[in-house]
Amino acid sequence: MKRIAIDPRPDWQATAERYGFRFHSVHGEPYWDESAYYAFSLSQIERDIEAPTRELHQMAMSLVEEIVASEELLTKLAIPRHYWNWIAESWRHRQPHLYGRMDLVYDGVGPAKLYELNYDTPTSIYEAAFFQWIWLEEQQRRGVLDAALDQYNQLQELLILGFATIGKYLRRPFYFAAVRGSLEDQGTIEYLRDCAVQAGVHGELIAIEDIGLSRRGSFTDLHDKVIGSLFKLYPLEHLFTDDYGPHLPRSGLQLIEPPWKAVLSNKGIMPLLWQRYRGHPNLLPAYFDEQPGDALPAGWVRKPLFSREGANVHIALPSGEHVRSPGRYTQCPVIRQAFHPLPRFAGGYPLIGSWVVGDTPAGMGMREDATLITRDTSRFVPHVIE
Amino acid sequence: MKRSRTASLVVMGLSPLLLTACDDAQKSQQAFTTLGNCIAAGVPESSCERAYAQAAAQAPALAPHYVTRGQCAQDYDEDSCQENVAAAGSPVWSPAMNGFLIGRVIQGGATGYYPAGPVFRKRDDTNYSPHYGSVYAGGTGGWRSVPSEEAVGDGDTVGRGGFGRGGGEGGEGGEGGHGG
Repeated sequence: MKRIAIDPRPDWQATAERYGFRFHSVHGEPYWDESAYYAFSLSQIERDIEAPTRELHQMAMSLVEEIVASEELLTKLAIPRHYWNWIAESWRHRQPHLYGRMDLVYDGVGPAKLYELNYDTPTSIYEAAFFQWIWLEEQQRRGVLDAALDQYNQLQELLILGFATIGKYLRRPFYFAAVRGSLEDQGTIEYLRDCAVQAGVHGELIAIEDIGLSRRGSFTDLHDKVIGSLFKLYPLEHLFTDDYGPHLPRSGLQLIEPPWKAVLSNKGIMPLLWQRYRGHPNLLPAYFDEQPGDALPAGWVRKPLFSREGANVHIALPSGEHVRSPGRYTQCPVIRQAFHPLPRFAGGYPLIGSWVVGDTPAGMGMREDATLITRDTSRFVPHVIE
Repeated sequence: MKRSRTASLVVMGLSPLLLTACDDAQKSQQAFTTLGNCIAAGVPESSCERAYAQAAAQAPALAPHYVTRGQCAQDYDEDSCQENVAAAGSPVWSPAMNGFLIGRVIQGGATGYYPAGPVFRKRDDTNYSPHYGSVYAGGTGGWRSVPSEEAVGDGDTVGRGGFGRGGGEGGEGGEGGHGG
């Protein structure tokens, strides 16, 4: 694993915009950063990333059956009681899921460690699946990069296959929804819809704020048509607490990701994994933190169950120094996870997002941050396999 | 090779017109009660078998569930109501699968058939499909087109804006990478 500096394509911004990548920069700074790339060996990818991803995914899936049937565990995960039965039913019917991303810390040598599962509303799929692929293709065509280089990235192929597989189980009409004002989220659902269309599955776009509620408790589009299935890039736990949330279980609306993903996208899955697979080389020790007011001992990290974009993470470094990220998840239960630092490279601290499409490890994307907490301002950096 | 062989966009970016091209696909569906009916309708035998096997496998989980046989019999033929062993916990009653649905897509001169799940015969002689709701029940009527409006009823919207407040404070939905 190396970080190699390289000149960005002079026309990369125009290329990004041509391909609908409107969120390539954040506040004037590039979010897509091709001034460097990471290079891995094939065995690093296959042995240290792909194989653990498959195993960790199977481990996580092995817990769902027990969690959805356990009032105690659902309570621990702070999932509102109103949704328990709906979640359990969605699992019993094995409602189809599309994808998830696990965040792995890896320095090129030791076993990758799982930070967390983003199994409900993972983003950066467009960057990883498509734009990263285009970058390598173009740099090879222009003779900048060796034509023999490869990339761990079967994402788009597997997404199209995934939509083709779940398409026949989706109630129609099928919609993709995200928050109206988020360029990134809107770009992500546009891309996923594109993959669906390529799989022969037609879907429309709707802003999550525009969804209507009918007299009978179903959800409607802007033409007053009942929505059959909804791919929602919007957290299940936010749906739960939104005004219309209580209507979901009886609405007949099919969700992608399905309701049972609520138990895997929750940070509480980390202590549950540790309980069940204690000592696994890819897991960090983790516990439910019953005393969130207590001082955090050195060498531990405190994270809220529902934190997004690295919000409200508190790290007590082994040196005793404390690092905190701001956020609005101040009232929610927390977990403790053993501190395991991100490796340090010239550009900062890289974190690997390892994707699972359906149940198959599918590729990866890397994000670099200037700090130990990877946030929504981190930069996406492409990778190659040498 | 560990990357996609090709990656392209058809809707996103520069080429929005292609979306309409995809819409030219003719989609229709037909319910069959036996493999013989299916093959006689010109569907390849392998497609019939696959659709039948998938429907039969999914039927116990997808069938409507009732607490008593009497409740089941209000909607479905009483003879078809049986105890559903697929459900965990307390016993439930469900109608037996009456047939299976096949979807047909004709696009660019090619015809594809795909399994579309089981159908259950209701007392009013309509078919219920867990995937599509109420579907055409005629046994010999051939392929019936399925515009999306048909799969669902008309909504009677009484309000909008009940989603998207993000737990009360707004903000983005998607989840990028986290460290910590």
